[in-house]
Amino acid sequence: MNKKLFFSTSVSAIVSLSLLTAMIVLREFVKPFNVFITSITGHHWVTKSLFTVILFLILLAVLYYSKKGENVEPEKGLYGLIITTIVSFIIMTVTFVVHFMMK
Amino acid sequence: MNTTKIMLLLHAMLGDFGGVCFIWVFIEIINKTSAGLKRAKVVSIVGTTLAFLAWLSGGYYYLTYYGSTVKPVIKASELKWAHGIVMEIKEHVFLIIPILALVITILMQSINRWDDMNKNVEKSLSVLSIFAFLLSFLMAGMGALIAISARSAIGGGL
Repeated sequence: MNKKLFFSTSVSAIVSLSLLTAMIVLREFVKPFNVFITSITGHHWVTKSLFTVILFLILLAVLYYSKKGENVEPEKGLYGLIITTIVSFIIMTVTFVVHFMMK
Repeated sequence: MNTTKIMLLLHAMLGDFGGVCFIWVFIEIINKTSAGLKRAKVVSIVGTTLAFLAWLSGGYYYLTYYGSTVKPVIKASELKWAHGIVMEIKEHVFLIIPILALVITILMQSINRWDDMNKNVEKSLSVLSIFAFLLSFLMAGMGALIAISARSAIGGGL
């Protein structure tokens, strides 16, 4: 099993999803940030979409070729990704419910 | 049927079939037959491709029609939560799916035999596949709710 690939794929996904979640929360509650991410592509959702997938691919390549994770057990990265997915989902859901209630 | 409606239909179909691909991957991981590994690799690639195509078609509909035509109708009605909560969650939670799909696909391609995976990796990949499937069908349910809300807002029935 390619431990390096498991590590770089998992960590890239964890970082991308975490930053996506942070962008989502910031955009809802910090107006200048909303203006900033909208200005990049013309629409906040397009910016977030492109940023997430491009960041994932770049990080994957950088981590893989940096030879990190050769001695990390592959399931550790996957556990981290499972937790990140659940936490991101919860934060996204709560953010929009709270933001709607605040209006 | 105009392009916008075709894109919406495609978005739903592609997303649903993509979700089915990941439950298929999950079943192959559980069964661990020799032919099943090859199927899991192919189906994960198909599922990821469908997820990206659902992203593009949904994005087209969202940017060219939903924002200008459907959203104002829902927000002006008693069902404003259908946009303010359901659609906002849907359009953002959706972004998790292509990343999960890519992870599952990349890692499945790297496996030469089922024995390459230890039990913990097997369980983790199974869980991630289930997540991709569940999130895809959550998107379908949320999409249906938004569509029903929009129709109700303009006086249409179910």
